[in-house]
Amino acid sequence: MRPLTRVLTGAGLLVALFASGSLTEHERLRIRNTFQRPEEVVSYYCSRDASGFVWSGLLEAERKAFTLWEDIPQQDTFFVASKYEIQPPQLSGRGDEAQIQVRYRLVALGDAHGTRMPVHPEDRTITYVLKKVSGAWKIAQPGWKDVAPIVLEGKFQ
Amino acid sequence: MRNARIKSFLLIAGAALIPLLALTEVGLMTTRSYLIGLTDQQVPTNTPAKFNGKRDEQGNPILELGGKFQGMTIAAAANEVFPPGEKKPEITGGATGEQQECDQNIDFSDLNAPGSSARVLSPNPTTPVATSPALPSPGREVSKIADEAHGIELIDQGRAARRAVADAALSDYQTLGQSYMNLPLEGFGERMQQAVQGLTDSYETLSAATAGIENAEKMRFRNVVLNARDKAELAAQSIERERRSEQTLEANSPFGQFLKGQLPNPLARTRELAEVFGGKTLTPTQAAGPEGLSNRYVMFAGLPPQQKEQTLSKLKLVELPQLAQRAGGAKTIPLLHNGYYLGGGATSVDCSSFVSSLLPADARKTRYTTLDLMAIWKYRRQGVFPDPPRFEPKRLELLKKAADAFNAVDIYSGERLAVGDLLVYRHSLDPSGHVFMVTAYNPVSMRASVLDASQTAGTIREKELALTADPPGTPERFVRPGLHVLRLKTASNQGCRYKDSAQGAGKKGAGK
Repeated sequence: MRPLTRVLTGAGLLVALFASGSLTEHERLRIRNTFQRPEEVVSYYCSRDASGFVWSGLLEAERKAFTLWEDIPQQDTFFVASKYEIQPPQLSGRGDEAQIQVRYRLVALGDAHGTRMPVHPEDRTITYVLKKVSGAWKIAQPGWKDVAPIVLEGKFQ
Repeated sequence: MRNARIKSFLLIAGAALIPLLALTEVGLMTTRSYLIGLTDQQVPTNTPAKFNGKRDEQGNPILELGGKFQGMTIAAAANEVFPPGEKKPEITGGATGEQQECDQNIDFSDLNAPGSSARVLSPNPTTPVATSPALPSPGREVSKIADEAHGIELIDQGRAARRAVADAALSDYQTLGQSYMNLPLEGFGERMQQAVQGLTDSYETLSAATAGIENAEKMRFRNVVLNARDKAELAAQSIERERRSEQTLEANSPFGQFLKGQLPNPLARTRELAEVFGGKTLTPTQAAGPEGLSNRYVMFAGLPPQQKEQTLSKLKLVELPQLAQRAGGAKTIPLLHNGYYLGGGATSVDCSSFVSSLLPADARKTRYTTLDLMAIWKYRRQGVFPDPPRFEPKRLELLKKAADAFNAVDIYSGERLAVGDLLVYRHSLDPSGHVFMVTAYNPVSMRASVLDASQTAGTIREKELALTADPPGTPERFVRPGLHVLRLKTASNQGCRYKDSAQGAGKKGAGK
């Protein structure tokens, strides 16, 4: 019974995470990182990103709470995705490091003026590396210079 | 009249001294430095040409040439020295191929998009560039001095525009903060609740706007407003929590001790509120950046109506666009900003402000993105806009106008960077993009000194970029892919206007 519950809970989490990426309501700003699991941090970040908050300017408070970046990403353009899916985490080390893959289905590269470019390949997987610092999971990789904003079609327009 | 003739004679005689100077040892060194277009460090300090800040009626800069040619444009001086059709003297000696030690610690890290060095992109990324350019003729080079002076002027004005934005943002922060200084915490809580309501209304007005604001601006400001609303909500909840816990509200004064060079943050009334609003003190950079902007929105939205009106007239970085609403009618909301241009029109914009608005990524988001600038470069070189990317028809028209402000320089075919050039780095297949302004270029080492405003609004830092990854001494040194150089024209054009020649030009945004 217990393993079955765990499987169902896991499946539920994936569905919930996937669903959160298609909601029209924006992900509310958080200042404190009270998340217990690394996938929750990634889910929060991806959801904020999907609504364009990484593109429009991540706040310092968010940067400090959820990442180990030295600065905020500075990109004037972004990828547009139709959906994304957060994979279960893979813990490593002494349980203080986690890798989480997020699979995106991209439809374009563009800017807020409506300019669009086709993208190849359309499937893009980003591997987030998180580290547990003072009890809080924070995104370490990709770094702030390498991160590309990915907004969700229909959620940011 | 007679005086004018004497003056003309003296000017012509003085101008004729240029080639003579070039033949002397000192003159040769001085002139050569200009002719081969070396860096600032290599140009002697006793430069014979200096921009005096004035322009002729065509907008060309008037230079001081060692004091002998004062009042002449450099082009006019060049014509005096070498009338059209006359054979120009050859100068020998030239660049001796002095190979400088290339600093291997050049920070090019943020230009290294994943796989960038392996990608082959237009324009002609693998064209080798000569490291010992031949000396061009002095006549042509004299006009190059004019271009350089123009570049220096642009750099100075670009810096000044960014400084003006930072100063204005700080001033606005302090103006708004005054009203929160001696406020009891309960009153502070009420203001936060009011801010939540006001910012929700602003968000809805922005969302329902069908005209009066560009889409990119609408999207960006909607997010800024949402962040501000969420902050105000978190602050209101925090105060309410403390009230319910029946503890004495922690009334830390934010105006006690603070570090030199930092601003007291009037919103950081408790430890928790300091977390929400970015700390008990803010650096000027923070106050002028995204954090400061969202705090300014909170402070403004929390003001009582009457105080709002009074404060509005004191703010420097605010626009009042009239937004046509989906349901009919129009609404005006105050849009606080960090020096962004609003209104979408490229024309009638002051050229130096126009250029400075292209440097920080934050400003480019709602102005001209690196995707636009890359397309403008291709348009200026090839006469047609690339497809893809696919532009909206109106956007394309706007870009064509903006393109008129620039000449495109192809460094892959051997054309050289000049002071004041915009160095646009952009890959077609990745959202990474940067825009730098060139302050000096050494063609021997292929290193450029650039201004970088990409970090946060209001700050500009200087850095060095190596345009090649190949070490000095390599027979063929290849320019990195993804670099597009745009050179602002020296006269007013469809894209922008120079202050002196602008007629009725409305200046918006950065310089406001």
